Order: sequence, then structure tokens, then C-alpha cells
Amino acid sequence: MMPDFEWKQLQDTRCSQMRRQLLRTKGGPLQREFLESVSTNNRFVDWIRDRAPSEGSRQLPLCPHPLTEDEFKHPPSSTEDELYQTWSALEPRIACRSSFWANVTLAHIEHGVIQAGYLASDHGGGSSGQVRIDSALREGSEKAIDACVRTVLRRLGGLPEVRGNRTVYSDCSFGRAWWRERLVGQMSGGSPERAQLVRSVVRISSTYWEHLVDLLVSRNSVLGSENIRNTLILSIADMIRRFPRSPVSGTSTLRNLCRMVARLQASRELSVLDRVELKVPMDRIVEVSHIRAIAYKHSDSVEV
Amino acid sequence: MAEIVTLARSSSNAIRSHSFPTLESGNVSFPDGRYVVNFVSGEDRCSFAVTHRVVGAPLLQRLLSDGKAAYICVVSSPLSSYRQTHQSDSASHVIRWDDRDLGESPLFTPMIVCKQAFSLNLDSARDGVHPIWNKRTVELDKGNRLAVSEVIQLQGSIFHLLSLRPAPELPEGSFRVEPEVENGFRFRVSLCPKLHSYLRFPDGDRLRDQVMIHIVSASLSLLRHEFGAPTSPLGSWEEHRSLRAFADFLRSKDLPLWDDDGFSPELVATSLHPHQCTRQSE
Repeated sequence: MMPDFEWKQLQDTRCSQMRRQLLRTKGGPLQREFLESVSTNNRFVDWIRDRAPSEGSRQLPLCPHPLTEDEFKHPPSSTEDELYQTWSALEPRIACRSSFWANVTLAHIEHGVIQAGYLASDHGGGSSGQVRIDSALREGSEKAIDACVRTVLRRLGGLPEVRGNRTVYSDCSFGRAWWRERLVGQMSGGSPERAQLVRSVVRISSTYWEHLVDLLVSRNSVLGSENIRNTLILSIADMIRRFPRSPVSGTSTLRNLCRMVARLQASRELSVLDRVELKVPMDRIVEVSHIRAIAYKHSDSVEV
Repeated sequence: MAEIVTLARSSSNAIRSHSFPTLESGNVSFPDGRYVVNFVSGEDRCSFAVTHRVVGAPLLQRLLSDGKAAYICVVSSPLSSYRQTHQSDSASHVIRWDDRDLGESPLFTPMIVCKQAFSLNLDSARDGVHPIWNKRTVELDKGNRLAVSEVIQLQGSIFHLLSLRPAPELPEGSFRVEPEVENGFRFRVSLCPKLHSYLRFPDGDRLRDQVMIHIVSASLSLLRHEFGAPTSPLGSWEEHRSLRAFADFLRSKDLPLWDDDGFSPELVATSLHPHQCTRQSE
């Protein structure tokens, strides 16, 4: 067994210093220089490696084929599954580090699997990364330049200084793919049907995924225990299967639903319950959230 | 060894109301209750021996001896979305984890929980509960939290802040210490591979202790260098939870902090871990 500390990653402290320096002055010369480098793969790689060299010897295998900008930004489940299978040797201890994913992303740029410009592309379906960089630099607006720099850093490996623990799970494309498919694998227990069911929940939208991640990585992580998150997400999946337009697929209902789980957990340690025992309160919470959200929506429309 | 005491009468910003009495900070259901948990670190750095003790809460002691309640300790690492519950019928148990699952020093939440559902008629004099519960009947479910300790991250000892890694590029017998800040402050100790494997598995060897004291001294020098001045590129040391815990630990031993005048890394290191100078023949 290879120890995880040999995985290649950017030097942690140097990487963090680089990000802090970049964020210090909105639209300043350093941010401009950084964005200009993103236009050319080699320049960008050198820019980062000069400031945060890598260490470790074991390199994660690369994605076996080039990715388009869209595929990198929002990988389809087949691509995420493929990436997770390629990186199955990875351990959570290292997969939660943004300096590790930054090095993985850089390696993909070095080998032409992705282009550096992809890192700046719009969150939605809007402009490509290169167009966004060009327009930010041309307009010269401090806000636009700063926003573009932050997007690049988030996609590269995450921005823990601003976004906290969730950043690797939700901002970095490769990190997100690994964590999301790991979750699918844990919950499905090898059943392809169940894997599809779980994906129907964890891939509802990027905001929905981010809310789920918040519950996984918060200090009193409600969904940290594997049995609790498995049962809850399967209950949500089942509700969505029965009622495809159920409000539980919306982020505000998810938030309320998770508050209910947290309240229950405050007086009852749910992780000691077995799967059958847990299913009862989880199904009940999902059911109640579904009914309440529909009733609320209905009362709202009556008032209008 | 670390001892954590949860007192019902202490203040808490997490006061909750439950439908049954619970011994937790800020909850006066057990007015004289104390929940004491001792932790002894395992030499492998991946385990702890945990001992739970309940004082002044006869109800809990009765439920434990009747087999209706159990001791648990939740080990978690939110950063890597890890949370594992270790359950025991015995007040002393060993909890282990796999270091590869954790993105940071683990958090521990010791508790006493119900093992099954049952009804309970409460009596203040017999059970040690607050008079408000006297003569009341409560329904308990499996998993109900009867006693809850604070969430604990045991890293007061400097050894919990060391992250040992092999560095094949280093010459034989050498090491280097650098700060690591991404997931909470730690000391990254890069060691030549031989030294790394030698230090990873303690066997009571004196030389190992001396090398560790050398590493601790170098780590303290680094703290002085990085945080001794008012401004540092790594920010203020108070921003790092692990360093706040370590500072509390040094204060509790009446030792100076790295930003105090007269801080001497080697003196603090050897005060914490004195060199053992006994001759083999003595």
C-alpha cells in the first residue's frame, strides 16, 4: 500500500500565500498579471509553479481524454463516474485538500487535457472563460477582474480562505467529481439502479449539491454519518421518483428538511440506529417537508 | 491524559429543551450531575482510550448498569466528511480510526445514549433529577442522548500538531519543519525515509525521544519566526484554532508563548519533554 503523503500536491503554505496575495487588491497589477497568464497554458502553469512548487512523487492519473469547456465546467455523470474510477486509489485525507486538486488541475493543463482558460468560464451557461478574461481586462473594472480571479482559483483547486471546507467539494471541478461519485458509490452499494436514484438527487443543481455539502462538512455535520446521509438521500430520491415535481427537489425545502433532521439529532443520536430504524423518521421528515412546502405554495397562490 | 468535565450548571449557548432529562452543559435536569471523560492517546496516534464517568446522576448510573443505556464516542472530521460512532457497554473503551479518512485532527463527542425504547417514571430523590421532573413519566427512544459532553479536539499537545511525511530528496538522517495552514495550522515535518519509518512506530527507544524533542524545538522556533512579529504573511496565530489550543496548553504549564519576550524554543521543548539522562547501568 502506497502512503497517501506521497501524492503530488502544491506546497500548502506557498499555495495559501499565493491565494491571499492574489485576493489582497481588487483589480490590482497582480490580479491583472495573473489573468493575462491564464490565456496561455504554459504561462499559467509557470506562474503558479513559480509561486507554489509541487512536492510529493505520486501523480494522480490524468483523465484519459481531452475535455471540452462545458464538460469540464459541468461534467456529465458519465464523466464524473469515469474520473472517480480513474482516481479510485485516492484517500479522503488527501482529497479534501485544495493544494492537491490545484496540482491535479495544473497537470491536466500541462498535458492539454483542459485549457487554462476554462477555469474562468461563467458559472451558468454564459461566456467562455477566455471571453470573460478578455472582457474583464478590456473593461478594466476592478470588480470584474476580481470576480474572474476568484473563479479561476475556485476551479483550480478551491478557495478555502473565502469558501471554507466546502470549496473542494463544490467549487473545484475535479474535486467535486470525485466527492460526488464517492457519495454515489457509498449510497448505491454497487447497485446501478440505486446509483441512478442517488444521482437524481445529488445532481439536481449545483446549488442543491452545495447545500448538501454544507451539511457534510459543517462542524456538527448532520449528514456526516454514512447511515444518516444514505437513508435521508434515498428517502428524498424515492419521493422525487414518486412525485417528480416534489418541492423537496428545491433548495429551500432541502434547507428546512435538514433543519428538521438537525433538531431530531439534537436529542437523539441517529447514527446508532440501524437502516430500518432510521428509515422511519427520515421518510417522515421528507414526507412532512413535501406536504408543508406544497401547502405553503398553495396558500401563497391563494393570497396572490 | 486529558480530562473533560461537563457540568450541568456551566453556561452554554446551546441550551435545548428535551422531553426527557439530559446531563449537558447549560441544562439543569441533573442539578448535581457531572459527566467526566478521560482521554489517553494511543502510541500509534490513531487511537484513544476513553473512560466515561458519571457523578451525581443516579438515574444514568442505573440505566447503564441495567443495560438500557450505552457509552458512545463520535469521531469526526468535517473536512473529509467523516463521522463514525463507537459504542460500548463498558465505561472504558478504545476508539480507533484510519488516518487516511481524516482531513484534520479528529473531533470527539462522548455521549451516553438509550439502547432501546422504554417508559420511565421519574423520582427526584431516587434519580437525582431536578424537581421539575419529579413524578413525571417520560418516553425514551433508542438513541436518545442522556448525557452529552462538549465536542473536543485534542491537540493541546504539540505532537498532535506534527504531520510526519517522508521526503526522499532529503539526505540521510535529516529533517525539515515547515508550517502547513490550509486545513488548520500544523507543522509539516519532512523526514528522510529511514528517519520517517523509524519515528512512525514508537518502541520506547531513547534516541527516538531525543529526535522528537529536536523536532519539537524546531517547530517552536518556526512559531517564533512566523508569529513572533506583529504581522505575518500567515495571518495572526489566534486565527488558528489548533494554535489557540496549544497556547492554552503552554499557559497551563506556566510556559511562555512564542510572541512573549524571553521565549526560548529549546527551553520550552525540553520543559515539555525533558531529556532522560539516566545511564543504562543505573
